[in-house]
Amino acid sequence: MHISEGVLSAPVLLSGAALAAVGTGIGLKKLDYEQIAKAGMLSAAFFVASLVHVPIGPSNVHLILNGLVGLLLGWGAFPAILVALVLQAVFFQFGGITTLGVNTVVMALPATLCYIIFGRFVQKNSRTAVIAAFACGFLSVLLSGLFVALSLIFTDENFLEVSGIIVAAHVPVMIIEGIVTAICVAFLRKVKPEMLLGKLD
Amino acid sequence: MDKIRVKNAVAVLLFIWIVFFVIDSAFAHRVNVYAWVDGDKIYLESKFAGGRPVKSGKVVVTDPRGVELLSGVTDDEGEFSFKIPERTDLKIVLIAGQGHQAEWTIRAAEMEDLPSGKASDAGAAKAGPSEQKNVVSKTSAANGTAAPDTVMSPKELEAVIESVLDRKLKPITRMLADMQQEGPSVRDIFAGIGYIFGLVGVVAYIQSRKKKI
Repeated sequence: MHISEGVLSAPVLLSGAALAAVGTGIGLKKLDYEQIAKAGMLSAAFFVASLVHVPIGPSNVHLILNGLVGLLLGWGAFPAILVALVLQAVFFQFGGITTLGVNTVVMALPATLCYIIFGRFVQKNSRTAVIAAFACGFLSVLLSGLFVALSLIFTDENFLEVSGIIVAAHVPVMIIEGIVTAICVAFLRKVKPEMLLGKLD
Repeated sequence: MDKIRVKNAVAVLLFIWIVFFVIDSAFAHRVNVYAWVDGDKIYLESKFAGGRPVKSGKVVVTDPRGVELLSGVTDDEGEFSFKIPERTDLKIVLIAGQGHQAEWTIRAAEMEDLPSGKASDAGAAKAGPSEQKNVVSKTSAANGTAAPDTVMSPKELEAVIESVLDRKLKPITRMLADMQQEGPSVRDIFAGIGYIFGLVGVVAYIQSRKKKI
């Protein structure tokens, strides 16, 4: 999901950066004292998740975990993911510094959207919560794939074709992410239910 | 209360960590490309970080001005080879799709040593004379006693030495390339996590000061 340097044109990079800046601003504003530790922890989890290679499928895919980050942080997903992406770019050469904005939007925006859709369900009865968590993990990867395709639309690649390829390649990841998110939510409901609240706005 | 929160946070992180490393700890998603000259051909090898080859990745070769000279597709081993199209610096771009790409530059200087003797172009000629003298004087100094009867022109001698060096150095070139292609190390991973926790500390500190005031 990391878009490398030199692929995208300047307008796409700039609008990505602008969107990422806005999202990060909102995220930082909503991130209060109580949530800092949680944000850092999820940022670290996201940072490591990209190293987990999923061996199924024709392409080379890895866990993203943006659904979980979104579910637990809401808008706070933007700063958390931005920090993790900076470090991934510096340490692993995943993505790149110029594509930081676009990559942040590609992964954090679906996270936030999924939080807005599914965030309220995780406090309901456990069945609903687990299903919502699965859907959240699944959908956020799907949306990220579509966003990648969308940002590539202005280069020479064909949108439908690219999005088809990316989505197909990430189906196993979507399922695994759904399961991981569901397990984490089920676990947190038992151990630390207040963590799941996020901040309902 | 915050203490408990942090404790649980650590527990969750550990949990996630274990889940991951049970699944698979291989690394993914940086594309590496490496190309080298052998004879009059250029060989290219490509891998995702972690060592999986880039299958059917698109390869585009351009000259320094960005004019496309040729293009192709990598095979199942992530390899591709082509005849040197033109004696200039070549920029080789590998497009692995989905926004991943990497590039490698072959300098014209790397192509000088064509064993077939085609190396009579400007680049080789320019570099030639001074190096030749060097080679000759060094060799004659080294085996001054022996071999007065091996009649070998400096040019031939140079070609022989270069071909031997090529052969001997190839494994080392490959090794260097492999080193460059290694995935992130454990040190990188912990460094990253350390940075994140450090940032948490900084933000928490700033926020706590705000709270008091």
